[in-house]
Amino acid sequence: MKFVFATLAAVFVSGPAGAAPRLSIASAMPEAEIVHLKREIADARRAHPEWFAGLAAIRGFTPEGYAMNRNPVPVVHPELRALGKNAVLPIVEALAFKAPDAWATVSARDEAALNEGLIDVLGEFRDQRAVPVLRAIWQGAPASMAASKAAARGLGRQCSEQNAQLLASGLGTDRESAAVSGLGQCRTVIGAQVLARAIADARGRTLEERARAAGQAGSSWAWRAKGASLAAEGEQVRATLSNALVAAWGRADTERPAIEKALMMNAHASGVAALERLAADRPALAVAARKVASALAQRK
Amino acid sequence: MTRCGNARSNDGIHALSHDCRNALVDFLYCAVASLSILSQTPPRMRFLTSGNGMVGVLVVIAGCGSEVNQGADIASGGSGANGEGGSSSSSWPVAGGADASGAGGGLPAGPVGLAVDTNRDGTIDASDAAGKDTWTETRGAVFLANLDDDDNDGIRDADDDVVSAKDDQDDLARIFVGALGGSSSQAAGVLTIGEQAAENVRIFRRTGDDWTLLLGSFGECDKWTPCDVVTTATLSGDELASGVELGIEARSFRMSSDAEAWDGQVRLTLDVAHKGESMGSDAVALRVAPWLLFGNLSPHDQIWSHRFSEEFVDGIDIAAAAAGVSYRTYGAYNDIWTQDFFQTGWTAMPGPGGTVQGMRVANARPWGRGNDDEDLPIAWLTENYLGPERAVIETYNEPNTGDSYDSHGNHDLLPPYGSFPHGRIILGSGVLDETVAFYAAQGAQGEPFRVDTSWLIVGHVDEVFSYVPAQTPLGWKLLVHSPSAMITFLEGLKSAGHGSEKFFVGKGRYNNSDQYVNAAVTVSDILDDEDLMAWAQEAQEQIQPMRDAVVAEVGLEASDVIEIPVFFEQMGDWGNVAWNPGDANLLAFGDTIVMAKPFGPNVDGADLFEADLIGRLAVAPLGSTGNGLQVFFTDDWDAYHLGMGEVHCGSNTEASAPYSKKPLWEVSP
Repeated sequence: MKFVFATLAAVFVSGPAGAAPRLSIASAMPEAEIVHLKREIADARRAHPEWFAGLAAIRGFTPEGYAMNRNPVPVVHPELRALGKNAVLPIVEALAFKAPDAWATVSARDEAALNEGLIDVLGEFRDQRAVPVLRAIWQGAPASMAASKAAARGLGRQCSEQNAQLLASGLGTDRESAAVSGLGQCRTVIGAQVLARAIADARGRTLEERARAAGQAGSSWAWRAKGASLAAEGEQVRATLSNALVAAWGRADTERPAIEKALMMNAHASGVAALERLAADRPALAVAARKVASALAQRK
Repeated sequence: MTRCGNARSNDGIHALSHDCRNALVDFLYCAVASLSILSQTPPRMRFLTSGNGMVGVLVVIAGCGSEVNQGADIASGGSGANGEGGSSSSSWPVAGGADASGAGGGLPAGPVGLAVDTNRDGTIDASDAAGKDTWTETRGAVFLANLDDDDNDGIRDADDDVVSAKDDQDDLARIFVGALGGSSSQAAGVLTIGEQAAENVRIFRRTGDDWTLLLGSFGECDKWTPCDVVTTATLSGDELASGVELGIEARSFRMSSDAEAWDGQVRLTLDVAHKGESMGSDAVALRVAPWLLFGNLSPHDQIWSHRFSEEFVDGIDIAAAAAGVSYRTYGAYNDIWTQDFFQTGWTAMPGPGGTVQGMRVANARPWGRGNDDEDLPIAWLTENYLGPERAVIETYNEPNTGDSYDSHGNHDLLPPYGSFPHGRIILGSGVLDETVAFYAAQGAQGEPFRVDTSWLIVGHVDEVFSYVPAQTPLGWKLLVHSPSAMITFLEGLKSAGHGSEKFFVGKGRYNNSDQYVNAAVTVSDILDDEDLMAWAQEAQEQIQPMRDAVVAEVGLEASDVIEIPVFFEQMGDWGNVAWNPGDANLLAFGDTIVMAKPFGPNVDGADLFEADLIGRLAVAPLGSTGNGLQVFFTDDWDAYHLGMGEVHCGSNTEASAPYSKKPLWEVSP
């Protein structure tokens, strides 16, 4: 229970670690989900205590675990990823119900890194059982932007229409960065349409962050990894985002480098065509647009 | 030879007739003795010899000096009293030995001369006279920051008041006060340097084998404890009569180009008066030699690393032995990232007879991996590195400042190109302002070239770039980490039917817990990893502008760039780090490189990733001979890769004299 108290502090409550009540997450999770998850966790603990021991053994957030790293900052992502999907329930338990005793005494910085890593990697597993926890974190009071962003990324990785709308609700709010971070992982047509609309009326740093998300969501390499069965959806997503990015590029100024990176990640032929049209329609931009188009044509 | 009469002038030698000036030059050349002459002949000295083999001191050799007399300004630039005031036609014989103050008690008239190695040829002679009082990039004497410890007392030579070992003497640049043959005991010469220079240099006077601190900083002092400063010193008439040998050292390199900071220069003036009346003055200008960073193409003869990882050490040991390079390991220090906590460089000035007088200079990172003073890199360097010809410095304002960006893996050197014959320092993001200012103030390796490494969790430029020798017009090629090359490599493996072959067999994914999770993963699974692919592609788009910037800056051709396959993974908002061993992060010495063992798929007993890398690097025209590099691999997985670094991060290199193919003073310092 000590860890729940401490962890949720960073996730839900502003102020020093250890101040958040456990009820914060419970109130944001359906009771049925809580019951269901607790039962699954109990079953898993009986059948596979090593899964839980594995999570309890991570050290990347402790000074002795990271002091000798090249950059001595707390990071747990590699360890958690290495545990694989067997770590889903142990992480859910640690975040929502009960953390390993060994995590009781953690500095604020280390705790924040631990929380971010737990939420982030939980999302990377793309496991349906994680969704209630991720939604609860997303919908809770934002205390840590890093935790909110991690939760948003997790929701983006399981980008149902409901999750996409949840993330879209954060656009233009104090959770803008988190929402955009989540939409960057949302590789669906609905997600792309939300992002494209968001790009259309953005300026400055907001535009840069949304453009980066468009690059991530439209990543041609990621879509290749998703396989041939999703190729058509990938084409639609990348085309949607590429056209939005080119339109933004045409009216952008200092934001252009960020937009160009995103276009290169989308690496979609529609982007090349759109840039050529832009060059033809707006002579003042012709040279720059064709230069970008030329670089884009070499990406795959 | 031309005899110069009682010349009266208002500007010293410039008022002399052409013939007379030629005569002076003849005189000076005649008077320059070679090392052998100096060591074997006790001539009538006009400039004291160093007695330590210093070439180029001026000696009056029979039959030479007597040809020139009054009005001749030996040091060519000083102004004699006869010229200054024009009050007397009396002479101060340069040669002939008449003491003007003696019998007649008249005003000695003669040259007041200071001489230094203005043209940086290791010889002080007539050719040093012109422009000696104005330091420029192409002309002007150079002196060392004498920060090694020749007497092995644990204190840097410039931090104490003594000139100890002979090697310490050799680290002093010489300034000669020309003998005023006719000076009287009532004459006095006043040497002066500026206050700011005095805070940064020490000038010693030689008497026999003894050196006495005369000007500059007095007392044991360091960066945080100021010295007493002396800006003027008086030479007696007797000393003026016989001449004086001075030695100068700096206590610091030039630290900043800011207008209020010391510009590295010393202007030493000598004003001679007799009975209160000026006899003339002279001046010389010198500048402290810059510190230069070693780079991959430096003639490395020493490798360093921690010894905690047997497999890592073994891998380097084999390569070092094959190349005939010394390899030194350390154990009793809590930092395994040898590249990061200190940086190796050098400094040098012209030595006698065209030799190089210099030293290696290690630069400490501002922070250590503990809270105690002994955890600071400077403490380790002082204990383990400082010694004869091994200097140590700190460039930070305060210890325990800075962050990962201030690790020296983030401060590298683009090898020589264009107008940077000693290379140009390249920095990633961050870096303390004072460190950047220090690099820029050296001048020799340019204003640092900056690239964005903020997207990396460690944030070092050596996570992306390296440099290897090549027999090409440029002389080197750029290695750049490339996710794009990695995906091409992987897709090639899959196309060749190796999709089910595994990377990282036998390796674990982390080493700092009670568990060791199998890291093995198939080629197909890697390519199907949506997150990894997106991270890799984003990393590629972060690297591309870095690469474009270096290509444009250096003027690289496409063939000058070699891509090294690597993927990066993201750690949430913390940033990116190499997912597989990053092989551009390599150790280079001569034509040998040591890379991280990639643990690629093993097919028919061969590591296909190793074969790919060898195919990229052990080929023409790489290497100084153009026959390819000698490629070695060492297992850094547990020791360094899992700690977010690779072979370069875990090692360091340095070179010994002459340090560089091009002496510093033959290019713009």
